[in-house]
Amino acid sequence: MTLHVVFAIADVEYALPVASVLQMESFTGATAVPGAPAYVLGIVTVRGRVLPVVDLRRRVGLPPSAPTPDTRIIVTELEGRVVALCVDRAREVIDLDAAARQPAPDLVNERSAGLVHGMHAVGKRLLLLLDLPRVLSEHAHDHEPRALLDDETHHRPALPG
Amino acid sequence: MNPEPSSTTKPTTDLRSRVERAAQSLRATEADVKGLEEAALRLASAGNDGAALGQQLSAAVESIAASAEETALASAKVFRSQQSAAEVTQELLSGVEHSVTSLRAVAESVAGVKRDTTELAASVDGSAAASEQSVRSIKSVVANAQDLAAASEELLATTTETTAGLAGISARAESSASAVAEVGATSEQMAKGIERLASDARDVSLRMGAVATNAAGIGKGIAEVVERGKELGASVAKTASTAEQMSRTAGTAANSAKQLEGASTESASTVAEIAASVEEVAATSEKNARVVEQNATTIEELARSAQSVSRAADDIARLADSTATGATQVDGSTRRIARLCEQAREVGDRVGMTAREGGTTVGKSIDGLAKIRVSMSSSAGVMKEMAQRVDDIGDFVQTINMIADRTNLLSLNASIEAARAGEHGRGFAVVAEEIRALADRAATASSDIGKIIRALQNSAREALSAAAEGERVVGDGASLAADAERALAAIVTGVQEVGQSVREVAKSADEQVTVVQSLAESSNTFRAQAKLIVSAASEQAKATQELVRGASEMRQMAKQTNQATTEQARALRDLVRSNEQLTHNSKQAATAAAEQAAGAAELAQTAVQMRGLTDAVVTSLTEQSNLIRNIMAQTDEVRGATERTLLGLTEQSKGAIEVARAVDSIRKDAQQTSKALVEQTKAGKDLEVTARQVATLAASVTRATNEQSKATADLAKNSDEVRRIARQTARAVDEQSGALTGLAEMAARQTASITAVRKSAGEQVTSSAEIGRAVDDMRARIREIVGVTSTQARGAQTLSRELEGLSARIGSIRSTNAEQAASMEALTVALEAGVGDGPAS
Amino acid sequence: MTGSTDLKEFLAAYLVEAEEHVSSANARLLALEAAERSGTHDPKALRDIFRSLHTLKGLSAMVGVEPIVGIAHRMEAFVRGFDRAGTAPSLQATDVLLKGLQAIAQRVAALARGEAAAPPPPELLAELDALDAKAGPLAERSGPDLDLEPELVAKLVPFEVEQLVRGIAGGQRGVLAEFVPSPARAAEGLSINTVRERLAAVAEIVRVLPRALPLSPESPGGLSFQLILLTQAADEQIAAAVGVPVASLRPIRSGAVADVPAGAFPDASVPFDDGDGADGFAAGVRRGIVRVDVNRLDEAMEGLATLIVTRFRLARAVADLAARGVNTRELADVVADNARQLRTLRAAIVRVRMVPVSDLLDRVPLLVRGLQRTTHRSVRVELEGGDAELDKSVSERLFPVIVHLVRNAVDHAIETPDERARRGKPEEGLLRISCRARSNTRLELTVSDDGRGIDSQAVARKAGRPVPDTAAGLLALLCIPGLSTRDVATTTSGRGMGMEIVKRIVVDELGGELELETHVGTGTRFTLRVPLTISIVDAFAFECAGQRFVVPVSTVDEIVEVDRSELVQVPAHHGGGPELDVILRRGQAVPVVKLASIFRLDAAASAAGKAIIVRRAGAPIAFAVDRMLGQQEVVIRPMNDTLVRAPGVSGATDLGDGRPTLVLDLVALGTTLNAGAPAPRVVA
Repeated sequence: MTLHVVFAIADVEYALPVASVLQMESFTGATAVPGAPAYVLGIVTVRGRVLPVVDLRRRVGLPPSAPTPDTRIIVTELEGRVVALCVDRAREVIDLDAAARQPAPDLVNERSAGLVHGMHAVGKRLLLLLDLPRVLSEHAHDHEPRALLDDETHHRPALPG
Repeated sequence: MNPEPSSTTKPTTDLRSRVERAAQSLRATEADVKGLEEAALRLASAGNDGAALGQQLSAAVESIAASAEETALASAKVFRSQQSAAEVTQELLSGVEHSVTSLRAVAESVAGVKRDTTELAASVDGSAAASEQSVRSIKSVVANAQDLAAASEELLATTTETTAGLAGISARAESSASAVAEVGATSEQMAKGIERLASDARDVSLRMGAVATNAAGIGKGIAEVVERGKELGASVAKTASTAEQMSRTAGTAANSAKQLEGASTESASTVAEIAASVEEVAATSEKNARVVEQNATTIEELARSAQSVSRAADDIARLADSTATGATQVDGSTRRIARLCEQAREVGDRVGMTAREGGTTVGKSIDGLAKIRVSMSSSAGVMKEMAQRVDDIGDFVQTINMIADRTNLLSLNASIEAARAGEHGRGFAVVAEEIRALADRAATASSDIGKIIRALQNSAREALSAAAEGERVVGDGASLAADAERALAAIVTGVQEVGQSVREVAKSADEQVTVVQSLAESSNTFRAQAKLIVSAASEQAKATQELVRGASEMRQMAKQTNQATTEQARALRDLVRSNEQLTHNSKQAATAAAEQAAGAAELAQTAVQMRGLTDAVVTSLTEQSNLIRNIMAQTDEVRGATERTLLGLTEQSKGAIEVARAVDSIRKDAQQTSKALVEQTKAGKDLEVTARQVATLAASVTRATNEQSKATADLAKNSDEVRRIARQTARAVDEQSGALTGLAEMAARQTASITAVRKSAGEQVTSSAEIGRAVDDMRARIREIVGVTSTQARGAQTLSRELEGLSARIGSIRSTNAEQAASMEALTVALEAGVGDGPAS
Repeated sequence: MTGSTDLKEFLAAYLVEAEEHVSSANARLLALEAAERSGTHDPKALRDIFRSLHTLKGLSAMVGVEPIVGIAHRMEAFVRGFDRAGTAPSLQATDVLLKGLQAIAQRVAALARGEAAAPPPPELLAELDALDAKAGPLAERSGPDLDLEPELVAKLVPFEVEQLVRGIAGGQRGVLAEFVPSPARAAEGLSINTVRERLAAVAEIVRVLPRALPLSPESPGGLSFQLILLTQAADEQIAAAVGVPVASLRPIRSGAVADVPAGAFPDASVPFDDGDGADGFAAGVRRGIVRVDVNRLDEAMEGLATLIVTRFRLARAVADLAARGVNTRELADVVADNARQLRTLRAAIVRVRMVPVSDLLDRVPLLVRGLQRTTHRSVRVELEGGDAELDKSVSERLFPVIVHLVRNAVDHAIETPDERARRGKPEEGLLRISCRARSNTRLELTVSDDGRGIDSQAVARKAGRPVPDTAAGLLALLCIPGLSTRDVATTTSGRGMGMEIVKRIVVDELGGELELETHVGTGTRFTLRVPLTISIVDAFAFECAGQRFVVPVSTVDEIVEVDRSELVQVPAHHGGGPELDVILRRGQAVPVVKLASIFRLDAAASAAGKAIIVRRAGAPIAFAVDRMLGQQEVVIRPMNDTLVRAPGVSGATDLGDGRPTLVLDLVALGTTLNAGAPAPRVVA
């Protein structure tokens, strides 16, 4: 029974193991960083540290939306790398029984490009388990200095791992 | 012939003082005596002159006596006629006074009415302004009313004229009646006069007899004369005093003589005029006769006209009735108006009350509105505050939400930290969970509150807008109410003013009612008077019948009187002549009188002096100077007699003038009566016409009044009409009062003149009485004097002789003076005591 | 729980001290080796090494970090062996010792990270034991009897027991004092450290042994320290130093036989000179030096940063008040004073953070020694540190750069001995690293070698780019990620991410400058210019297209007023790229680039504006911006997450409005422009 942070994007609920979460903060806006990838909202200072903010809505392919009072950022840490995830709503933590975890069906895995690596049914609710490394990894390996001059709208295929 | 002085025992105590005085006076009188002697000489010469003059005078006196007789007769006649004139004037006066009083009454009433109307006018004017707007509506009626007013004005004017005319007629009728009566009276008087003449003649014959006896007794008489002389002396003393008076009055007489002279000159002219007038009188008397004739005829006409007058009077009566009824109607209508006004006032009051109530209710409603507005605004204020409070709560909820959110976040972080702390964090995790649950509950609670707050906010906003709306509406309502109040207040004040004016109108109406009543009364009295007139007229008619009868008698008498008047005329002519002569003489006499007056004045002065001297001498010479005194007395007498006769003559002439004037006034009266009669007839016609008009107007007035009664419902119009009527009546009344006052003034003047006439008549009467008396006296005296003068003439010669002897004796007197100086004093004192009581006349 | 806090407090102190000893041991070892190689023997160095190891073991024992104690113990024994043998350790021995020190350093670091210290690697222990064997059996001697409680003696290390006995024998008085820490005493300033310092002045602290005590009012902490002292001073002085009544002192006399159970640690024989030791370095280090954990400095700097931000907000508030007509003259003065004091505080803190460059450079010989062996080259390292100091964090960031440059130099530049011989060069290559403080804010570091230089044709061919004609161009080529001139990825050069990392750290992160000078055959010289301190710098704030940016004052050459009319548009031949204009400034054409268009911000074409001119490699570039907002001190926070790494953005700061503001490095931005051409597809 590990504690998971439950958050939602649009009306889909996801869960993240609490181990990878440092803290959560309310979110009013980030300072855009020119040249940063599209789904990076920019940077925000949390407890004195400057963190990049990833817009999970765009990350999962949803159109961006202005921050609402419920919008929150989840400060996650992966091997020393601290990144903030901007989600629509995050109001509870829940104990998930590792046993009750189901692997993501192949179709889901394919479609989400590995972002969702598991599911959990809690009563009527279905929680998708987010593969944090995958979320962050998108950028980690593919550190390719996109030339500033590139037209941002030109969508580059994600490079394999 | 030194009769002892009346031995009235004097108290011995003052004898010595009397003696001293006598001695002193005697010594003083020596000089006086010398003076006297000289005076005596002068007197003697004067005496001679006087004797001559005396003779001349006696001749004149005789003629005078004769004329005196005549004048006596005439003056008696005049006296009587004056009396009768006095009476007549008295009646006239009383009649005039009556009419004056009535006029005054009417005038007063009219004045009262005027005042009232002016007040009314003023008040109505005052109120007119207030009710101007309301009046304008009844133009037509007003026009009609104006006609009515004009007609009534005319009516009033005509009535006034008629009244005036009537009054005039009545006066004149009266006067004519009175004149006629007067004429009748005079004829009666003449008859009586003639009787009296007869009786005088008898009296004279008796007097003659008496004279004869007197003559017989002349001898005795002389003593009597002496007695009388004493009496005369007393009376002379009296007359001396009166002479003094006279001298004073002489002064006045002098100046009156002057005036007389003036007057005589004037009167000369007037005498001439009189003469002319006498001529005229004669002519007029002739004419008068003719006139009388005419009168008779006119009287017949008069009778007829009297009938017609009576008829007219009837008409007038009827008219009066009608006017009375009209008046009563008017009165009724005015009373109705009054009532209407009363009602109007009541209505006004009611309206006023209702308006006031309305005002109060509006006021209340305004207060209510104001209160509502206040409450509304306060509620608006409360609403705003509530809205504000709700907003505040909204904010709180917001903050609560934020806190709930933040605690949720904290709890999440706490649970994360707890998880990371692994085993150690177990307890902390539980706490974190609790906190999160709490946070969630708080969140849900605050969201609910939020929803409620939003709902509250909406309702608050709606309420606020509603309140604002309400407030605005109330505001409008309040302002409207305020306007209403202001309007009502205006109405109230207007109504009050109207009420006030109505009340005033009512009051004035009441007054008018009273006035009208008084008018009605006066018209009633007028009617009564008319009735009286009618009765009078009928009486008059009857009287005129009698008059006719009398007239026929009169005609005869007229003829007689004509003859008599012609005789009189002749006599008057003679008189005139004599008057002329008289005037001539009087001029002369005037001049002489003037001289004499001057002389008298001097004489008076001298008499005064002399009296002073003679007093001093008389006191010493009473015994000796009896003769002189007699002479002097006689001369005084004569002079007094002459003055008196002169006075009598002037009086007579005045009397003649007065008579002439009276006769002239009679003539004028006669003319006026004829004119008046003509006017009367015209007035009668006018009256009829106006009566008809009045009738029609009355009809229209009634219609108007009906309308008015209708119109009175609308108070304003009435008041306007009333105002205008009031103004019209005011003006009419003004004119009326003006006329009345004029009439009153004229009447007053008439009364004044009449009183003056009466007074003068009275005076004349008194003076003529005096004259009569004096004349009687004079006559008696004259008779005596005639007797005496005849004897005197005789005696005069003896006198002149005696005088010479006298002067001789005076010389001896002087010598004896010294002796008797001593005994004089006592005598003077005795004399003083004896002189006080004159002969009882 | 309170115990643990004390422990933590104690741990921090321990970590600081441990690291100190490890580094000094390292230094000593290298010095020893150098001395050995030069034929001299420096027993003192050996003894210093021993002492470091000894205290390291002691501290670790106190803290209860057994692995470190184990390693330290064996090394200590080994060194003592040598000491006794009076010979210097052989090369292998030094290697093993170095490895041991490294192992200890790693565990200390782990401890610092709050992780448990890993058990000693078995092979290391084996090597150490082998050394031991060679050095000869350690004299197994039971300690003389001390009238101390047996459990205390048990805790003593033979070395300490020996020291104690020798001290007493030497005429010093043994004294046992007990110091019980408590909040009250702490308030009075009496903590274990102050006691230690004061005692150092009057006595020699043989050992400080913590003893658990039952919880009682005197010892709220449930802990006391047994201080075993050797002193000539009177008891009163000792008591005063420890802050305890004289009576509580207990003399320690030797001679009373107390049987030391066998198996206790053999006591060290080397006298532990503590405190007033005569040799300069250690003493020097001790006197007036406070060892401070860098984190604390960071916290202080952090505090200072927030103070600066608050000051800025305060200044803005005062400005508002003034705007509203309030007489704020006095307030302004106060704020100015505040600013000055803050600046002095900043300088002070920065200075505190300053570490001598030597720290940085001292480790190079160690590195080169390692490299020589692996690359079979012989290199002589010449270090010219000068007295320059630089920020600890900067030095930390610079260390990998230097390592890299050194490795490149040794690996690529310096030829093998026989090759050098062929080239007539001395067999031993020369690596010179010199540091000079360029201006009071920047440090210049040159790494030059007399190696074979860099062949630009080879590099160009490798990068598929035209041959650069200038050194800057070559440098740019070198810095392309993934480029490595070597055909075979040797272990040292890594996988060719070489120069790129150098550029990223020096230029991007530190906002410094990198220059290259190379002559084929004679050698290459890398010149680095980095700011002395990067945490708090004076900066210009400006606004462009509605967003606010900050640029360090040091990087800006000039700010000019620019009117659109003056701009001359440059024809752009191949479409792409931001609009480029040129303006005339004092007769010199200066290229002007609209910052807004670079960052693709929708810039409303403002008529007039400002331009910030920076000098990149001597050539001025102007960046057109909308409005200057003023100058202020800013605290730059590095943004090293790849997600937000953008060229020209060197970090973020907080201008007091709570939102991060980007700190730009216009020079770097300029260079990326220059690099203009779209980056070639690089195949990993």
